[in-house]
Amino acid sequence: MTETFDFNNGEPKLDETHSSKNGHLDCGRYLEFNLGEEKFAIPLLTVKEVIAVPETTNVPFTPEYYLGIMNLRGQVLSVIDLRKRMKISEQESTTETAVIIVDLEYTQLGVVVDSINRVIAIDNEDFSPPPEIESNPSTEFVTGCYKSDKNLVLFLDVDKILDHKDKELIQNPTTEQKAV
Amino acid sequence: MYLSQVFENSEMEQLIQTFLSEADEFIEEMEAGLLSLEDSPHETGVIDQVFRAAHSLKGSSMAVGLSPVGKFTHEVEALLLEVKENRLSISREVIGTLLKCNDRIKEMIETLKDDLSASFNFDELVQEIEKLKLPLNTSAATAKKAAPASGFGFFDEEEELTEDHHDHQQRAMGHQSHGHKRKSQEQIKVSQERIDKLVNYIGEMAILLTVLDEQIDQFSGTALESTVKQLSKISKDVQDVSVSLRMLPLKPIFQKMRRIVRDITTKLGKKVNLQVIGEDVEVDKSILDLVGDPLVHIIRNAVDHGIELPDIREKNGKPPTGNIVLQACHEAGRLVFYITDDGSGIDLDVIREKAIKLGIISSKAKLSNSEIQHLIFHPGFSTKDKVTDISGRGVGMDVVSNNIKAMSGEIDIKSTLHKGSQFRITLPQTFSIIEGTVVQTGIEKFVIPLADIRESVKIKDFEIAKSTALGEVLTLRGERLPVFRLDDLFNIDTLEKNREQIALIAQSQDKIFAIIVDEIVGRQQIVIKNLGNEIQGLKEFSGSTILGDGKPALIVELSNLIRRRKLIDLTAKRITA
Repeated sequence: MTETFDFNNGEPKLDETHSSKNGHLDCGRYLEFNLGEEKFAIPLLTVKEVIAVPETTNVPFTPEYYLGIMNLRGQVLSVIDLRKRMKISEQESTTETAVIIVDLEYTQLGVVVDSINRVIAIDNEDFSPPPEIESNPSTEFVTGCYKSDKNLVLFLDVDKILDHKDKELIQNPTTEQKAV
Repeated sequence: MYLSQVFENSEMEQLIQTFLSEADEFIEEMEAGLLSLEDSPHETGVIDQVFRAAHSLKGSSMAVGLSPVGKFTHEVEALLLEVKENRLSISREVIGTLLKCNDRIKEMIETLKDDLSASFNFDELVQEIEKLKLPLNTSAATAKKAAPASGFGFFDEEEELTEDHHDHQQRAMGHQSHGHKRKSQEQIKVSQERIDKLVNYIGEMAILLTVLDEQIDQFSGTALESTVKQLSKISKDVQDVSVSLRMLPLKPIFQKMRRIVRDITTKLGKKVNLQVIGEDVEVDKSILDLVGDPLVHIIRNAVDHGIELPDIREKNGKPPTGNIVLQACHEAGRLVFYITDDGSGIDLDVIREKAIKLGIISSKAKLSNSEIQHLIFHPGFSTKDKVTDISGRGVGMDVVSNNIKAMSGEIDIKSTLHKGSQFRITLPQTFSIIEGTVVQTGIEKFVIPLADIRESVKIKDFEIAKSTALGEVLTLRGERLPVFRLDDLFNIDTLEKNREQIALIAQSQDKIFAIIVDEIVGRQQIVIKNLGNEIQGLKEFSGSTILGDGKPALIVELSNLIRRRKLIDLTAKRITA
């Protein structure tokens, strides 16, 4: 996974159509990837490109899963480690490890995953809402699941990878220290 | 007779739109002329210029069928003719009316931009014009006779209008095909978006070239090396040109100031002579858009709070007319504004008392004169007890100060009681490129804007005195400076302590402090890259850039960073106390 490939080259970007609301997903194509042993998928249209893991520069005062900033052909982007974000035990970096550049409404983001698997096309009836597991902090960005073969694939809402709470966490790291 | 009958509708529409967008220029020209006419009434060239602008405005508006504008401008032109032919002398009143008329025309044009069928009522202003012309019709009997012949009489309005109408109809058409005659240099209108894109791409190119430049050492002596060197040189030129594309002169903003001073002085019964220096200084469009408001605030304040009423000035042995000088210039790679007035200056005792009363400082606080003067930038501080609609709502200077800080600029004040005040605003020349120092701490590199650093000194650890109450203190030429360590602030592991380090003596606003780093990597032009929205909340960093090795680095906002440290210290003290 050393070369770069571009999934949406030249295609017009569809916005909102594929961002899920109320747990409902439109049918379409998804990019399936692995975090540890687990499989996840995000709408292909939010994927700008996939690159090898770049060098990053640390940014102080950010949460642990925030890897740093990277240089993508002259543009500075944030990179987050989705494994840490999802509290999935970290794997050794291999040649399979990749960074997905996702296009969100308000920003572009690099997301580290363990491996890129395939592009899947799915109909609506194959979806089911995620089972409710209250104790799992990751469920807030899981919008649904899908059973392929024997594996469970979780669908992620990319917008929520960095959700409101995280943004605040970054913005006010000193809130609890406010004195006088 | 209306052109709409002659032309296709769409063509007509286009003519009207062209007129509306060009009208602003005429209006601006008129305003500028009127203002300088008031200052120097005997310069003949100026009244000609104003008259020409009004005449063109009248003609073109009639030509495109906007007769209300034409009719009103005709009245204005008639009054201008009186002035031009020396039948009416220039007075404050005349200029006042003319400026009012100019505003009205501007208003009409703006309204027409949204709604072409808008109708206007300008009887009141026409009456005002008539009133000004009245004494001349009765007293200047000689002029009366000559009047109709010279065409100033507006009794033969019908005839003149039709004639003009025809004349300008042709001219307006010619205008379309021949382009601008008024511009000496040929110009192209380009959208700002395209220029921004170009500037961005060139910025990226510059970054790639620095990357290339770092690797070229391996090829020293080869043709490749000299090619890269040449390329770098040209790239720098290209970068300069691309940046200059966004540069615009300060003139429109300065002109606005003249108008504001005129309006306020009339309202307050003060006399102020505003001198403007450097209106040709060119600044980045983005700065031009932001610098207006702070300047307006300061100028208003200078007229309202600074300059005294004429009788008070005379009592204090000053000329009754106050002076305000607004100056713009480039100094050491930064854009600097000076706003100087010879008014009452800042009364330190009044400020101090007021600050104590407002609870901004304690009554025991020991403050230097300059610290007291800086209190006027404190939120919620206003010394004028009377709230006026000119300034003094208590949200003046702190807003100014914040706006300027947001542009990574600084504001400073010097004031002497009874002598006057001087504000100094320092701004970067552009927001996209700055001079920066790249520093290293541990293995991390950061960029510190050069403007924040006063000097750098090598220090050994033992030269820093440690105090539990004050933290670390560095004594430099008798000055005691608080010490901040970049590795502590960022929680970075440094390799080994106790070796020689570098202290950057930083100055941010009026605070001076030392920042300890492991080493200075270099000084270079920094192309600023915005951070993503998700971490823009980190006020400790104003942005990022890409260094010569291709890796991104953060640009440190020192004044916000050391604030973080202070907070931690305070809590620590509270726990141990």
